[in-house]
Parts: sequence; C-alpha cells; structure tokens
Amino acid sequence: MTTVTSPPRAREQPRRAGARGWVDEARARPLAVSVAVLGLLMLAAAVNLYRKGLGLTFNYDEWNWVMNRRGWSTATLLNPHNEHLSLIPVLIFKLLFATVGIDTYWPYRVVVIVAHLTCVALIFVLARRRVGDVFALALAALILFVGSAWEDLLWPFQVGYLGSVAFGLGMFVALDRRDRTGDILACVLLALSIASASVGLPFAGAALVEVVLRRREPWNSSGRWRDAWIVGIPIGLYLIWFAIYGNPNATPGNVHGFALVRENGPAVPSYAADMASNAFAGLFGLAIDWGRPLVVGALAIGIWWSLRRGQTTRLFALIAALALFWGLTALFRAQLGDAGSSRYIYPGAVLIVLLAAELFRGVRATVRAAVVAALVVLFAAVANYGPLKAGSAHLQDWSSYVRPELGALQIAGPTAPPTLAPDPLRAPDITAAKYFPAERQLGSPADTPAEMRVRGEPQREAADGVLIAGLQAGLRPTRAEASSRGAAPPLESSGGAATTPSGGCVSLRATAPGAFAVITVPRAGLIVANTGAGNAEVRIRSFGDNFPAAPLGSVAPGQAALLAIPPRAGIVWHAQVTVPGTARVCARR
Amino acid sequence: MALAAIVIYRKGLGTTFFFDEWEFVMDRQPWRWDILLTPYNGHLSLVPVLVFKALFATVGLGPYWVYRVVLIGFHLLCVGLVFAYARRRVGNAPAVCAAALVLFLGTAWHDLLVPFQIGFLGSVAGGVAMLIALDRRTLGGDVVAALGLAVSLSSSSIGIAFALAAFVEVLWLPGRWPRVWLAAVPFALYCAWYIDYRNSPQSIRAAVGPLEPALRANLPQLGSYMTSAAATAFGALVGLGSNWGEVLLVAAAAIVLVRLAGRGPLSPRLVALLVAILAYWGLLAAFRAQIVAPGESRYVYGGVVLILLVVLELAAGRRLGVEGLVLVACLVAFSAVGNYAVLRSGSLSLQDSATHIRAELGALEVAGRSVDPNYVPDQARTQGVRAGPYLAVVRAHGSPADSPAEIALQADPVRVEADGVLEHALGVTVRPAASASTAAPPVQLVSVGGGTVGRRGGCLVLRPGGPGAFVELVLPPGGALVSPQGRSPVAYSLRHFAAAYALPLGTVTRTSSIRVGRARTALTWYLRLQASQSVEACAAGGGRA
Repeated sequence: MTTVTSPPRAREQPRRAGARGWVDEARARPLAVSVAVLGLLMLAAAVNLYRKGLGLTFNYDEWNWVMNRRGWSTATLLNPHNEHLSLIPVLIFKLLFATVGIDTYWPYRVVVIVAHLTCVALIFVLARRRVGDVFALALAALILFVGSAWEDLLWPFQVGYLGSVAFGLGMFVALDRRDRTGDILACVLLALSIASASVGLPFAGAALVEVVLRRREPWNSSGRWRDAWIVGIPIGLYLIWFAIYGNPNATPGNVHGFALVRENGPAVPSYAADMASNAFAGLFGLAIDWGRPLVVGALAIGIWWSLRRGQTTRLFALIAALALFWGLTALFRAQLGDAGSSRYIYPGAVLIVLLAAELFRGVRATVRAAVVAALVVLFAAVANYGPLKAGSAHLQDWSSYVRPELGALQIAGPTAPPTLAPDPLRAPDITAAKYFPAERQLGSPADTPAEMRVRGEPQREAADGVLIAGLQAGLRPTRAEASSRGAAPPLESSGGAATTPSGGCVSLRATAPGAFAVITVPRAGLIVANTGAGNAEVRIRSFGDNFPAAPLGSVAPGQAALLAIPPRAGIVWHAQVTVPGTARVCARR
Repeated sequence: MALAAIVIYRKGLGTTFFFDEWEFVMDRQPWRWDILLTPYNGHLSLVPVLVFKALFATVGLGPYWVYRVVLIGFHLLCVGLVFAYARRRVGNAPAVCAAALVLFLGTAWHDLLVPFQIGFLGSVAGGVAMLIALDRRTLGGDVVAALGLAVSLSSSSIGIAFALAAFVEVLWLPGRWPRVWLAAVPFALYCAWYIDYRNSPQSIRAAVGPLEPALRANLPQLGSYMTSAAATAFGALVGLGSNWGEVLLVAAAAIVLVRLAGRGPLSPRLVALLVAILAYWGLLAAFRAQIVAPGESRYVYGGVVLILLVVLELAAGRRLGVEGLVLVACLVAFSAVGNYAVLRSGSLSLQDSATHIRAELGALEVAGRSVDPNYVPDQARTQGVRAGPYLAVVRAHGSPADSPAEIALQADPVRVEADGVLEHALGVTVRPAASASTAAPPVQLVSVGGGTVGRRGGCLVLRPGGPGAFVELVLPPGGALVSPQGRSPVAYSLRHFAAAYALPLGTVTRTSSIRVGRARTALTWYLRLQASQSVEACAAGGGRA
C-alpha cells in the first residue's frame, strides 16, 4: 500500500520563495538581467552561426573581390559592385587579405557574425528606450535568430548589408541624443552606412524625414531645414562618388538606367508588397504565404494604434526607411523576380522590429506579456532554424564543389589555359589567369589532393573535369606503331570484351554491346589503335570513381590516337576504352 | 479622370476589333428587333448592340479609336457615379479616393481596352445609377432607378445582381409593396426577353450547353470559384495579385460578419449590396466556371465596384481625419501604380493580337472578291470571320484592316501570316505539266543558297552543293514550271509581303506548273525551291504545257 502525502509546507516554501525571488530580482534589475540573457542568447546564436558556416569557402561575389580588388588604387576601393558603393566591405576584405589571406575562411565568417551581433545589440539599445527591457530583449532576439536571412548571416560578403544596417542603427542611436555631438555622430555613421551598401540610402531617407520633422518651424523657414546637413553631407559625398565611379549599367540584367526604372516602375507595388511579406514571414521563420496575412494584420494594428496614440517623428522616419528599402529594391531588382530572396529579409526585418518598438513606445511588459513574448521568440527561433540549416547546406554544397575544383586547378598549375574557368556557375569571376596570382599573393582556399579524395563523387568528378581541362589532356592522332615490346599497360577491369595482353599492348575484342576495358594510364601515355569497325571512345578519370558521360575523344576505325597527360605528382589516371569491335591499347614508350 | 482617360487611350493605340466584337461586326448589321435582342453568350446585349450599330452607321469600321473613346466614356461614367454614390456617405475627399480606385483599375484591362465591354460597364453604370436614385426615395427617384436597372439588365447579365439588390432593398424597407414595381417591371421585361429568346443560337443554353449538367458540374466548384474571383477583385483593388486578395478577402469577410452579428441596426443597402455581390460571383461561378478562370480580367470591374459600394456602406457617416485621408491617398497611389503594370501587359497582348488581325484582313482585302466566301483567315483571333461577309461589311462600312503599305511595315512574323492568308485566299495551283521550253521568257533570280545556279535559256537550274540548297526567284506572272531533275521531291514556298518564308506549301516530284490566283492588283510573288538534286525553273508562259 502506498501512501500519498502532500509535500511538507516547509519544503515547498523555499522553492516558491526562490522562484518569486528570481522574478523580484529580475524586476529590481531588469537591465542587468536583460543584458545577461541577451548576452547568453548572442553567444548561443554566434556558436550556432559559426557551426553552420563550417566547411564554407569564398562564394560567388566574394571571388570578384579576391580576383579584382587586391590592389590599393582608389578605383579598387571605390568601384561599384552591382552598383553598390562597397567601400567598407572592400576595406574589411582587404584588411583580411593582408592579415589572414584566403587560406582560412573562418575570420571572414567571424566578421559577419560580429556585424550581426552588433546590429542585435543596437536594436536592443534602441528598443529598450521605447518599450523597456523585456520587449527590447524579445525584439532583439527575433533578429538574433532570423535564420531566414541566412545569406546575410553565413555569407561574409553580406557584411556590406549588415554594415549598412549596423551603421544605420548607430545613426538612430546618435539621433536619439538630440545634441550637437549626436548629430555629428549620426552624420558620420550615415556616411559609413551608405559606404557599406546602397541599403544605407533608406537610412538616409529616414534621417532626412527625422531631422526635418523634429523641428516645428514653418516648412518654408530655414529653421526647419537647419539640420539637413546631417543627411546632406553623406548624400553629397555619395553623389560625388556616383558622378565619378557610379555606373548605371552595373545593375543585373539587360536593361539599365532610366529604361530599367520605366520597366520596373509599375511592378514596384507588387514586388515591394512581396518583399514586405517575405520580411514579416522571415521574422517568424515562415513561408512567404504566411507573410501576407501578417503584413495585413500588422498594417491594421499599426494604423489603429497610431491613430489612437498619435505618431512620432521616428515612426515616420522608419516608415520612410522601409518604403525606400522595398521601393528602391523593387525599382532596381524587380527584373530578377527575387522578392523572396533571403538577403532582403534582414534590413526589412530590422526596420519592422524598430517600427514595432516605436509604435508601442511607452508600453511595458507584464509578466504574462513577457511569457508570451518569450514563447513567440522561441517559436520564431525554432522555425528560423530550418531555413538557416537549408541555407547552410546550400552554401556548403557550393563550397564542396569550388574547393576541389580549385584544388584541381592548382594541380594543373599555371600552365592551365588562362581563360579556364573552373566553376562558371558558383565562382564566375575565377579564371586561371587571375587565380594563380591571387593564390601566390594571398594563399589558397583550395582542397589538397588528400582532401579532394574524401569529397563526394559528384565533387570529385567536377574536379576531374577541371584537371582534364587544366592539363589539356586529350587524344591526338598518332602514326606511332602500337608497340609489342615491354610491359602491357595495367588492365584494371573490363566488361563485354575479351582482353588479351600481347607484348606491350592489351588487345580488346567486343563480345557484347558497350564493351570496355579500364586501363591505368602509364606516365608516358597510352596509344589506342582502333583495329575494328565503329569508333572507339576514350574516357579518363583520376579523383572520381566514375568516368564522365562525355568521352574525352574517339578513335576512328583504322586510326590510332595518343592519350598523353602531363604527369603530376601523386595523380594516377585511369582510361576507359569503349570498343564496338577490336582495338589495341599499348603503353607509349 | 483626364489623366486616366489619356493613359487608357494611349494603351489602346494600335488595337482593333477583338474576338467577340467581330460577332457584332459580322452578324448585327441589319436593323431588326431580333438583331437587337438576340442574346450574346447568354447576355441581353441591347445597349452595346445599339451603341455599336450607331457607330457602324456613323463612323464605320475604319476609326476604331471612336469605339475606344465610347468605352472610356462608359468607364468615366462609372467612376463619376461611384463618386456621386460615395460622397453622400463619406464626404468629398474619401469619395474621390474611392472613385480613383475604380478609375485606375488596370487589372480590369479587358473592360478598359476592349469596347465590347461597354456591356459590362453599362450594367455597372446602370446599377450604380439605380442605387443613387434609390437613395432619393421619391417617385422621380424610383422612376430613374427603374430606368437605371433597365439599362443595367439590357447591357449584360451583370444587371441581374443589381436587380436582386433592388428587390432586397425595396422589400426590406417599410412601405415596400408600392415601390416594388421599380425592380419588378425591368426584371419582368428581362424575364420576358429571356423566355422569348431562350432557344436562340446565342442564348445561355447555347453558350454553356444544357443548363442542368452545366450547373451540376459547376455547383461543387461554386465556393472555390467565388472565393477566387473575389480574391482577384480584392487584390486588384490594392493593385496586387489574388494571393494578396485572399488575405484581404478573409479580413473583409471578418469585418462584414462582425458587422452583421453586431447589435447595431442593419442598413437595407448593406444587405442589398451583399446579396448583389454574392449573386455576381455566384452567377459567374454557376454559368462560367467550366469555361473561364475566376481571375479573368473582365470580371474584376464589377466585383471591385460592388466591393467598394459595400465598403462605402460600412463607412457611411464616418469621417476620416487628415491622417486617415493621407493613408487612403497612399493606398490609391499604390493601387494605381500596381494596376498600371497589369494594364500595360494587357495592352501589349491586345496590340499583338490586333497587329496580326489587321495584317491578315489586309491580305484578305488585297485578294479581293476572288476569295472563297467561306474562307476564315484567323480562326483564333477573329471569332471565325468569313471572307465573303467580311468583304461585304467592308464595302458597307469601311475597313479596319492594314493597307498593303502598312502590312509591309509590320514585323516579319506578321507579314508571314499575311502571306499565308493571301496564298489561301488567292489559291496556289500546282498542276503536272510538260517540259518547259528554253525559249521561255527569262526567270528573274533573287537568291541562291547551298548550291549554284546556272541558266539554260530563260530558265534557272539549281545544282545543290549540299543539304538545304535553295533557289529563290520572282514568280513569273503566268506562274513557274518546276522540273525536278531526279526522283527526290522539290519543296516550294511562296512569299509576297514577308522577307522570310513560312514552312513549304508542298512538294513536286515531276514537272509541274506553280501559279497563284489573281488579286485585285498585280502582286510580285517570290518562289523558293528547296531541293537535294538539280531542279529547273522556267516561266510557265513560254512553255509547252
């Protein structure tokens, strides 16, 4: 028999007292507790992001900088990248080129993680002045775990976007001071924001709205516009840059300049609306379809609340920033049809949480509201982990190709054709002519042969493709006699063919369709003499387990061809000779 | 309105009579009652038919812009009526915004660019006018309401939705029976027309097939079709797609349900409009689900106007502050830009279609009376216009077609199609013939490819150097004699307007004469012969055939 008894009051009391004490402690020192919690969350997020970026190497646009931004001319620093002024990210990359080179990629990833954490910290600073520590923590945490923006979190190239956002947030913090020092700081930070990427331009729009609306003088008085210099100086510098270095034709696609604006203009509402829903959905780790009701709901609540409680200058500034970000992106990118792109989520999401903080200015969290906020953040963090993981897998997949392909290029060496592009899809800026000087100067992110051998089969086949192209391996017609002296080339396997070693050759006779023999290619090369009817096809591989689908070449009936591959240390080639009739495969002397 | 009129007018430049309009052009020429009252696709189309006939009689078929101006006039009338309706409920500034949402409704491009749609716009205009007149609650107002409803019903079947709204409103209000005539009389006339013409070739039965199976097939889709049509209209209202419209529809439905379930008194107009909007989408689903998509551009206009009328009824008596007005104005601007994108793409598709139609009809007119009267130059774009009746209409009312000079300025694919029409209209005759005489008049060489050409007397001899060899020559007035020098077939193609050839018209394997029928004026034809063996081409006039 079991007796169930209530816990003694004496034991229950300290536990309750402890829990209540923790809440009391948190209430007494909310900032310290919030900062501690945020710090822990940031640490967890940083570790997670770092881990999700393991195995990556330079990706796509980054190769443009590795290949083309190594000098120290002003053009190197100031030339636009996809029409963005990219001074700050280029400087960061060049600093890393000079210090850690391109052997190791993790310092680049650390920089982008630090930029992300800086943004989160600044959101917390801005939000806690408006909605208190608990809601500020929740809003900052929403951005901290916004894995839907994986491109911005895992790809160091996006330090441009994050830099723009971080400096823009810094500008808002400085404008909050409402003193001369704050204004000067805001001006400098806005200039840095614009110098990081064109994402800074919406922040300039926000700053202009704020500095004009915060003064109450009549619109036509000079007093109203007295602080416009805060925006005027950075924008003036930007316009000077644009006049000298700007290139309206740098936008992606075939239509540029005014024609592009004319083409994309009517698409702005739908594209911007999709970007908005993508940002809202991204905040909560959901698909874009969920973003639409969230946008409509947020709009309804926002309009209702602001009409009830009144509007602030900052509210209009943030609305201007959002409208400019989505509007300008639509105007210059709608032709690409990628409103749902991951990289556009971050700036939109940051401005949305700031808008929420501004809208509900003065609202403070109750315990119940804090619990609800924590649950929402938990949901968003968990839901956002999926897109982050998928994005990480995508980037890792690309890196898993680029690194062995570069390894193959390095094995081929500088004798590779200068125009050889090892991966036009994933790294279109790399050519052999540009790569080797960069490698000599900055080191190599490429796989070693040992690393290449443990890659997946598709990656090893891709590496074989680069190596074959780099070594310019091929079949050349030869009149050399198929030797009957010396050792025959090593026969590895055959199928559907009768194979007979004779002298220095292996004779093949097809006994079934698709007959083949796999032979190790001697250092001096192979001679394939087609002694039967139909073309004999030759395929080669080194790192891959499978031969490529397309043959390296074919040998016509009655002809002989030499397979000569420039030897490289540690590289063994295997040749598959497919014969419809008979052939002799001999080691070259 | 001036700005919208200019934009819509410009977007309609280069268009011509489109699809259904050809039925009016070809079949509604005489002045008989049955011509006026015969249904079109199940609609009573008295008003649009009268408008089109008036234009046939006054400006003819040549200047299509006049038809478009009339359509734009109907659209502006609708917008003006929405403004008049709205200002009594929400004041001037919000009424301007409401009207502007209709004014720039580019998603309904079909209704704004195709004059045939004056039927739908006439129904909407008549319906809104009826509602405005009902607001007066006087005998004069009731008479105007009855007339408005009559116009609505006799413009298209969209009027049925407004008729139901009229019944609901009149019967809901106290003193209902003395006023019911204003809805009953027009509707009774409509029913009488329906009964009289129910078996006509263009009745609703003819349009959708036997009613019972069609309804049985469509009823299960009623809900999804109605919501899709509604979502498209809601999306169009803000210049976005139906995926956004779905969200707005749910939000709007929630607001309406809260209003209906609330304690406040229900306005008869709100109920009437809800009945009208459900009837509009419901009838659309019941009779069109099997043939058209719910998001069709031409169904957007009526839906949007009815949605706006419901919104105005819900907002009646409320006044917007400055902030609210700014927000609504931003929404209008956003909607106008978004709608312009759809208007532009709709305009492009109509212009593309019109370019082909005008060139094909131009080619038909070049061929003249020698054409087979039953020949149909474009089955897809012109609702099966036949050559004989078309040329008769052109003689009576002028031509909407391109002149030969205008055809010559079109892009090559269009000219290739015009050539196709011309070849079919004139007829290309290929007959076996005896060998040609070398004394035949010389044939004019245009080009040669993949081989060499030599002359034997007046004849050209192509000697192919490889596959795809061809010789191109000016087709002699009496035709050409083509003599293959082996057994392989020789493919022949013709062109007049185009620079390129369409697919070969056929092949000849023995000496044959190739000639094209005579057009109204002498035409220069080019003949291309493709051969894998030698072939001789001579002028048929000098041969012994």
